[in-house]
Amino acid sequence: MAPTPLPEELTRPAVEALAAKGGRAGRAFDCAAVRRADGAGTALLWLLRRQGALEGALAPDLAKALDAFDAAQAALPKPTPPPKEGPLTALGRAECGVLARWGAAVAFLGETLCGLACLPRVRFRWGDCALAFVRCGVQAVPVMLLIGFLLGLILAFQSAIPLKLFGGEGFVGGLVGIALVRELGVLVAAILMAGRTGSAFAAELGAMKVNEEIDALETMGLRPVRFLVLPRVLAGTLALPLLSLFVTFAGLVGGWVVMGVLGFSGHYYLDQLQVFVHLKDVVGSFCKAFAFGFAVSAVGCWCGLRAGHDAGAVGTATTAAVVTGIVTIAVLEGLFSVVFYAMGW
Amino acid sequence: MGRPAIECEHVVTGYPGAPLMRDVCLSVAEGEVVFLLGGSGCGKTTLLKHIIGQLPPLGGTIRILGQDVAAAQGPARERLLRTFGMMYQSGALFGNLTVLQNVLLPLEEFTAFPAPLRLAAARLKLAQVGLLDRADAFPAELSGGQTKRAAIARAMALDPRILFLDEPSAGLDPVTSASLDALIRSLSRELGITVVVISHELASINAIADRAIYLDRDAGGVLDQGPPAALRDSPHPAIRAFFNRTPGAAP
Repeated sequence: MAPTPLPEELTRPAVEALAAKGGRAGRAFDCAAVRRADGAGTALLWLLRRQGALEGALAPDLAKALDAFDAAQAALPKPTPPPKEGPLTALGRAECGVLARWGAAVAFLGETLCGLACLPRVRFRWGDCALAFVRCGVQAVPVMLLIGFLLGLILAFQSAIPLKLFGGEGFVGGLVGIALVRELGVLVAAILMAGRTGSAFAAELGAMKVNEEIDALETMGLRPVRFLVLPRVLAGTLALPLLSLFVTFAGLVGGWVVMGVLGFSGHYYLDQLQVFVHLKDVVGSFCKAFAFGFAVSAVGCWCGLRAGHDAGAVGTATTAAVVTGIVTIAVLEGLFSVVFYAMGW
Repeated sequence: MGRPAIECEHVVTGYPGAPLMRDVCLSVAEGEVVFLLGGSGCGKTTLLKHIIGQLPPLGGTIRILGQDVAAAQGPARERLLRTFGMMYQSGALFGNLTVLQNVLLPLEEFTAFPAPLRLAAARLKLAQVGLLDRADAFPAELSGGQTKRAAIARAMALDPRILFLDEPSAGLDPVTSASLDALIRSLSRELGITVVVISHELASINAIADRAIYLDRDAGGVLDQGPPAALRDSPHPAIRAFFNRTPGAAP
């Protein structure tokens, strides 16, 4: 079969037209007429020549371009396979990596706690702390109130249905009060904070890492923990107890609305709360709120500081901050439960 | 001089409420290597954004290869965008893709080439910019000069007729900068590509520019233009100061 002649101008449209027609194995092309080829045309000529499907003499410029490409490919070093590693070595290497990460995390935690303990004696950036408090605390109040109110409403409704079967709907107020004050108020506020503030801290610090701002701080002799982490962690630690108060209060209002719908007076609802909710519940809740606030903020900052240098690093750090923050809250919640049980709370 | 590749007629540059230059008139012929010069902040990059259609001008007309940039909409705009390539000052390579994948991306999105041909075309571009050995590297692993080369390879992937380069030599050592100049020159000479460069590098301007256009904010547009050798003796003190590196006179 006679070879298919290639056009004089072998540019992208011509190459696309040839590609659209498709090729059969063994089909040959005549390049004698080709005078000019762009990148796509040159690539096609190179492919055809490599497949032995090119006939006729190439124009000298084009032949030179193809030879140069061949030479560049030939000059590439042969890829060397990575050295083989036994399973024991791989396990040891992985373990070392895990230990190094844990070591760095412990060092970060120690530096942050020491920094907080030494606040009166070091130059602290109160302005940054106030700004972080506004962002993670004040600006979070509306969403906390909304979620808290809905939480109390749902909790009261859902507990009223089974309690009504036993004539115990009068205890709904007590149930809502205990659940919100002891556990749910602070837990929901902490989870919301992990999603809202922990991720924001990680994104801020991650972006600073990508832009080499953290490197610049270190080069100037400034510790990122004192300069960036402490203001945020202190703001988060102080903000969460207040936010959990808002969630709890809004939840109690939600429970009061449901009690009203069920035909109980406001006085009765308050009496129920006074009977079932004790000071130790409030104190315990505040202790947890401080711990959760510290954990969420510190985890957010930690994930941001450990971010990589590429574009996807900020996203990865943000995800890690939210997931690790929530897991940390769950672990701390478990610890508090054990401690409070041992204390008889 | 060939047909005009880029024409700006009475273009008002800047952002809404913050105009920069009120009357920019210039033309770049096909196959030319033209440098846009001017003091820092005079609006060179803004003008470039207007030309490539990224930012609508506040007034006037810009044509690329005879087509009004502002009037091109839908498929016509997409076709217009494929006639030119742009290299940003930072390179703007996608960090989660390798160098080869960065160059392959426009070929995969905008051509109907079979996979082996796409791969060959992408590798050819990398060979042209001398980066074939770094094809599998990620942008974070490249040096400044390599990043710029990779960005040029990606900008050239679709064989554009015009190449815009924003500060290609910024931050590079003289040797790397010179090799980049040689690359730009060869792209223009061998492939007939029109090249528009924003740069302050006198060595690059003197080495490869066919023509330099000096923009001035106070003048409201083009202060003077011509071959670099001619501009050195320009009647405008600001341009003489620019070419002779004299402090004080340039903005």
